Amino acid sequence: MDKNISKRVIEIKNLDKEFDGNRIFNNLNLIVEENQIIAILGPSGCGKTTMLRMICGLENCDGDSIYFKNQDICGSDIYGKIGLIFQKPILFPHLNVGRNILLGSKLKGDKKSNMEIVERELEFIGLPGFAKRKIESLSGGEAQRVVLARALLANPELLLLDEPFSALDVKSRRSLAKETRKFLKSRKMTAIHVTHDKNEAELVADLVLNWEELCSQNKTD
Amino acid sequence: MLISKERNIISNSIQWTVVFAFGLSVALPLLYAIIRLESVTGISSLDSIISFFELPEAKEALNFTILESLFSVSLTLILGLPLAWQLGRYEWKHISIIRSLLSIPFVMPAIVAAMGFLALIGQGGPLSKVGIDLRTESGVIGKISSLTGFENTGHFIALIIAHAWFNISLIVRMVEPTLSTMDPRWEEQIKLLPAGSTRFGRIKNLWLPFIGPAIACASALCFVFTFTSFALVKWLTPNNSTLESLMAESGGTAGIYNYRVDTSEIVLAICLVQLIILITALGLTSRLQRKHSLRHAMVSESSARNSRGKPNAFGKIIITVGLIFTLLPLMLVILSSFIVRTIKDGKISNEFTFDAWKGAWNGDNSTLSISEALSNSLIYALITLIFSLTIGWIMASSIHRLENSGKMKSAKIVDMVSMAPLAISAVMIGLGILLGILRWIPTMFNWFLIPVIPHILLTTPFVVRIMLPAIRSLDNSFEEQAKMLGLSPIKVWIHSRLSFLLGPLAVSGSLIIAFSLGEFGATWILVRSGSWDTLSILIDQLMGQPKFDPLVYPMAMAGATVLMTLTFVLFLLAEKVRPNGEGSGF
Repeated sequence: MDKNISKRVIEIKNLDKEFDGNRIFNNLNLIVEENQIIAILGPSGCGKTTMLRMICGLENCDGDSIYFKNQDICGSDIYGKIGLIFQKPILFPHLNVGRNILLGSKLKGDKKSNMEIVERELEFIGLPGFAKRKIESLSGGEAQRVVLARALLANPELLLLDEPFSALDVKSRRSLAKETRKFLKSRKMTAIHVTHDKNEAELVADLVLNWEELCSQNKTD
Repeated sequence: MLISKERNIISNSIQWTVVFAFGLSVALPLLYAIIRLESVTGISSLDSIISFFELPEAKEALNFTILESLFSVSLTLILGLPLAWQLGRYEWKHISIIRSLLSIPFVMPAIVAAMGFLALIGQGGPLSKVGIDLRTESGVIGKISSLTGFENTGHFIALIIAHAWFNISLIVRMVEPTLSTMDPRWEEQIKLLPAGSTRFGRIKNLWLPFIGPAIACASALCFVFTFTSFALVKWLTPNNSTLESLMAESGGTAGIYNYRVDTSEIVLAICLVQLIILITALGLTSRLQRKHSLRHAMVSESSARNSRGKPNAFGKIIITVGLIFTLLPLMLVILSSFIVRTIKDGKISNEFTFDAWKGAWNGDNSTLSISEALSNSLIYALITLIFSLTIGWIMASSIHRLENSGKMKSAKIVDMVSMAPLAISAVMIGLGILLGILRWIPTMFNWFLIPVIPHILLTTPFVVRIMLPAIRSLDNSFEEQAKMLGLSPIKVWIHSRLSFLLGPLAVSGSLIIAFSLGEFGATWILVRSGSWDTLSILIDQLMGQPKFDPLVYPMAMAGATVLMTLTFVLFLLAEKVRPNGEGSGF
């Protein structure tokens, strides 16, 4: 097998999507290799989020167009292998910060070891001592860091980031973008980050791609 | 400034007076009743509770009550949850009509439900036609009976099905809003995390924490309603008593010195034990409700539904079966009022006729005609409406005023006072008035308005529950703007308050009339003069008569049809004017 092919985490071949007869995009092609952080730059409404949702299986796709580690994943359940960070941080209000992070843990540890894991992750993302905090007490930036900590703990083979900093102010966006790159690189994670902010894309990614380059034809949704 | 201060003092005084008067009218009759029973039996309340299990009848009734309540709640959940799930998660055409139809049982008078289920299980009814004989317990039901050794299995099954029918809407209306307003991204997020990668993981980490409190809260309320059910128990399981029905049956001779002291002992013991159980259950419900309210209404219902699409065929089947189950007993009531069963030469024949309606309208076989009983019911309902609406509105305003001035503890106390009648069943309220007032002042027996008192006490909590959220959502800027325009105080009140509260007032009004028309437990205990019998009492009287005259049964069904139709119209009115909100809710 070709060495480059074996390193491919995701490969999208001529992917199309339409909703109710309206074409969102067609002929989309993308390759992401292991440990690579790709940023995709595109205007709002061009279909970036839809593409991410198709990759992680939340949106239907026709077969033979999305390959995850060389396996066609269209229509198959791959939950747990690919992570997604939404635009708005999704934290469950019935759980505190620590228990939200533990949802990302694949291991079932005892209370003590779970707390150690949580503290380690919180320390890593710069929020030590936040384990017992309630979700509603977090600022937007803090909430997004907690989501990031959970995603890092889950350690998916591919992490998708859907404009995760768009709700933050410019200063926080820049600093969190830099830190996110640091976190992802330190854990040797593969990621696709979509955004409409060029500066943010450059701060996070190894490689910045334009949406137009990926598609032969685009229509807004 | 002074005028406004004086006005505040007056309105404060009125509000506190109403709150105290309401609290006293709930507590005092019951307290006096307990004192009376203690005095008649010579047993203290504490001793009565301790010796509860020495009363075989009471012990048996408690066992049966707990058993039927637990079975009823379980069946309600089994039938109600799939309906709530389907309704809450998918985009249904005419969802408001489906919701309304599924809610009908909850507002139907219990006596109508009892008639519907008697028609369902009766000889020649749909169940007996498909070989399920719940009444005489032959065939499959007979086999179950002999296998389990449980007597009256058929009647027991009929009772729990009837309770499930009655309470399904409670499950649907409490669980559905949680499902329909839950952010779909939570579901997506949990699927992408290790803790939710399996179906079990998603149930454990997402579904149970979110809909669990709503289910638990609805179950606790179902438990309370089935625990205190009277008309259904009286008619569907005549050989078994619940605490409520035993108390009602013993109540007539209780509280009289040197006469049937045993019934006084039973009533005192049951009353106290039931009070403890109900307060515990309602306390639990209130805690669950608070937990539940924290975890729902996260996104707009329509956007959540859109993301999940249209229901599949299985979902449509579930909703269709649910609707048939809801409407069937009611249809049977109507149908049974036109069918007269006669036996000629040993052969049963059914004749479709209007004779029962004519007889019921003429007052044959009963103390009153349908029209007279209906007019009594309407008089009671209208008096109840005037008092309950006024008291409920004033109490809701008091709670809001206290909340606004930061007196949260006082607001909570007033709220608890307003809900107090729910902790006391209809029969207990009726007995409270019978033993607490009438036994002390026997001349009041002749006062025709006595049944109105329990009707007011039982309907006011619903008014408070409906009015309070509406009053809380009033925008003060309208009042300020009206004042700035120089309008008179009454015009300010009309334009900034009344005009915004017309919807909730109409909903409250419709429900008050519907509940008062259908109230059975307290009225059954208190109505002593035949000329003031209500429609629900008339139906009970007719059904209680020997069925030598083939018209008696369809006449009772005709009465039930009238009561059902009136309730249905009032319910439709309430649904039409119900303020539009996200999720269904109550």
